[in-house]
Amino acid sequence: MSALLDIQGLAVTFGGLHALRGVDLPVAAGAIHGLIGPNGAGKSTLVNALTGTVRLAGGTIHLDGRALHGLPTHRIASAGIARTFQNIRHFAGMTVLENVLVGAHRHFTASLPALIRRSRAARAEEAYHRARATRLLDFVGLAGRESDMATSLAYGHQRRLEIARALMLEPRLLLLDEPMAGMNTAEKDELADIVRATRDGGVTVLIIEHDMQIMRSLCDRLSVLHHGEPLAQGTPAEIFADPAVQAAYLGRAA
Amino acid sequence: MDIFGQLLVNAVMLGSIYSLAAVAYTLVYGVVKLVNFAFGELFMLGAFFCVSLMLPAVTLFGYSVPMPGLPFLVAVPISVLAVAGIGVLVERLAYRPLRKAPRLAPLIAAIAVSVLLQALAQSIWGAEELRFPVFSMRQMPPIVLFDTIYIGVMQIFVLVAALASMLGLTLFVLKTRLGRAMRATAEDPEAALLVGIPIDRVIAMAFLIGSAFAALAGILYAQAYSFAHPTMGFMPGLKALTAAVLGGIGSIPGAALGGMILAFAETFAAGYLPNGAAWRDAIGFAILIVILIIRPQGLLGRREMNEAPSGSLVGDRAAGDTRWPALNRFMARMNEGSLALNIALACIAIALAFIVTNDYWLRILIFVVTYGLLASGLNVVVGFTGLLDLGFVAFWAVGSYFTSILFVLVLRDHFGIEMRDIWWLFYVNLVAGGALAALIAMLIGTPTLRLRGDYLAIMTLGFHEIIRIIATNWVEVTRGPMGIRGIPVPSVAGTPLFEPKYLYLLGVFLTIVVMLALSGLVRSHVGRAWVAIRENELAAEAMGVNTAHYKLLAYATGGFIGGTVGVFFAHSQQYISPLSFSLFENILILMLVVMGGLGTFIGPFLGALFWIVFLQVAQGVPFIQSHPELRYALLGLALLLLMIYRPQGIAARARVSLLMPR
Repeated sequence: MSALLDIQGLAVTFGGLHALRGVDLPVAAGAIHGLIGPNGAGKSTLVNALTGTVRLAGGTIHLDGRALHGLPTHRIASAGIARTFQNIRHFAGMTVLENVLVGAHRHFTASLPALIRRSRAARAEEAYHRARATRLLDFVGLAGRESDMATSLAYGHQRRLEIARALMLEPRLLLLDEPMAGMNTAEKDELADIVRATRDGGVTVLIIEHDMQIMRSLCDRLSVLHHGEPLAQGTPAEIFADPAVQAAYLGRAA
Repeated sequence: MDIFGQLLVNAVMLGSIYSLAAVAYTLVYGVVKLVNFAFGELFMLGAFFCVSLMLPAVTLFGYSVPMPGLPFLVAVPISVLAVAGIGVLVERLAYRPLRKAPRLAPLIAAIAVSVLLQALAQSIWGAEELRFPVFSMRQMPPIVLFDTIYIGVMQIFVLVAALASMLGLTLFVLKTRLGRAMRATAEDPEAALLVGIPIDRVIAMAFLIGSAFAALAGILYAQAYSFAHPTMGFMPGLKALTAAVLGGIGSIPGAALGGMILAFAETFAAGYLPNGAAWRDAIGFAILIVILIIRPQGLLGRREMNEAPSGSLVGDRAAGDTRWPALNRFMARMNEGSLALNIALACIAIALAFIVTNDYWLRILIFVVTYGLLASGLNVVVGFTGLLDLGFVAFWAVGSYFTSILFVLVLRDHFGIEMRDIWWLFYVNLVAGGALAALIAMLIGTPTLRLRGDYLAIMTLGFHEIIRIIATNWVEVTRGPMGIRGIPVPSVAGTPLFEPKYLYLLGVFLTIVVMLALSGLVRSHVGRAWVAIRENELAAEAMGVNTAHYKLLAYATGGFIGGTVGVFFAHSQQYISPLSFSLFENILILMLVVMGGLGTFIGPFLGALFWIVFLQVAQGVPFIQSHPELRYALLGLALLLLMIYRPQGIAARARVSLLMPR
């Protein structure tokens, strides 16, 4: 397997503080890659650095050989990295379907005059993406909720809405930032199934999650961050057997 | 007399006053992140209280009321305390209920309070100037420096009062428990609450001190110009806000520095530039715009103050409240945007031309259409995209002046072309005027994209003032305050539409075209990108929306509509002057959108209809006939109540679907 996402020497500083330093992270195409680490290890900062919402102090990011470091967030998204947020960020004043359609934004090509006169091509484009949106909502288990307001969804369903919205981009890589936080076991299992099905559909997944039981069974590979630096990488079995990782989590001297 | 020295003295005095008022803005902004536009009115109230207390009698509501005739030094502290009390009351009644509301609500409430207080002052004291009485300190002989510079005792008093107040405040903030609590609240309100700081008391204190500073500034300003007037607070209030932003909002030394810089720039420009006095206000705002572009956090401000806060600007209107279920049901039907309903609405609008036979009422309907369209343009920027624009009238003015100058000053006066022969040019100009306004909107918009919402509002306000000042003072091109007369009425195939009936029909036709085009944009990926920016800018960006691009597009679209309406307005009125484009119009149009319902198609027209019909009906009420400004007081009050009880506007449920109709 070749690396779809290749992060090398990534560094982020806040003031004089090194939030991330020397992070190398290759994510293989077609994998579910887990990112774990104790609180404050820099996992969310890594996601933010990857999507261009915090400035890099150094390092490179390549997606399928294309350099993404230094690009604005929307260009990174258009290049094929879609994400969900640790704190849900849906568009409150919009319906479920409208929310999901925002994810298709980069695929729309109709010009302003074409929109104003609602040309045949513009309508066809809209219909095409609406059909896709309906399929994706079905995929995440939100069929029939299209015209409900996003805010009226239950918490767990709002998480799924974010995943459907992100998948509308047709990304190469999907970043999930603690998608299972606050869910019960049954909900977590359902979400894990959605993540597997997403991977099987050809989208590489990079997932941050605290539930180690889920991560052990879900992920093909795991990377561990500790104090903003990479601590270990490997298969779940290797990682959980690693004494350095255990020390980082349990606080013993390594 | 030494001009330089005298200007220096004047600048220091004006700077002291600006600085004092700037502290008011900075202090309250630092603690609650609210631009309290009402400080301009508290400034004015301070002056009125002080003058009233010093006179033997004043006329209130048209009745002569005896007054104590206090000496200046006694009247000042009483007035300052009274205004401080009003400031706390305003915070309690108008802002505290909105502390958890979407970000736009408190800002609109502040504007509403400002309108309300100004109209009330006009009702109480009348629209005339109230002369400042002569008192002993002012009659003392001036100090003469170098035989040429005259410094009045009052000028020294102003400087000393300002210095003492600033010093006192700095000590208070640094040394006292409450001052420390205030700084903690400014840093992080939630954490402050968690460690047991009584936030409500701290915020009340900030309003108390801020209002006292504004009142003191107002008194000092009024005595310098020897009068108090209901509208006197508006411009200095804006200047003080400018000074606060210039110095870095949230910073007390910054407010002092900003006030001084602004006063020096204005005073010396007025003194040395040819015709400088006419341009002095424009210079102040030009400095503001340059500073916001190159250093948005201000001279001494911290960068965090300019960070765009997340969260919806207008809030989740769909989850709206459950009051007035019948209205909600009716408006929800609008949401479906059914073709039949839209055709029915258009038919009603057209039928009105034949039902209403009275020319007077037809002209009023033309106003409804004009203001409804303007509000629809602003709605693109504020309602759909969630950017607060307080200078929208500038685009309207650009369209109006563009077509008027072209028709009257260039084609008729310079080339001697008969108006009849170029009737078609009006229709070309509807597009050209819109395009010009859109272009300017993008030029203005580009540097403001990095600014957070409140700064953006201030910058657009400054831009509008500059356009208005140009319209007033560049007499060669705009004919200045005289305005431009003889603009030809629109024609169809060479037949002028003198009858209001046909002019109104033309307006309805224009509305239909504009709304169809706008609906094409809103009900597509463009509209979804706009609303996504409004609801969550970061998430929109992460979904691949180039937010800078779409904000500019929203500006340009709104500007285009403003410019087009300007062309229609100029030709339907056949006369324009800077008076049509006053600052108050900006606030009025914003109120129409908010009242009707932000982010709806029908809202702006409902708002315009309500307001203009209300104006007409109110004219028939005897008490309002004698106090016409009470209409504005009622507007302010209505808006305030709307913000507290129904911030989503009348047509909240008429949410526009963002899906293209199949």
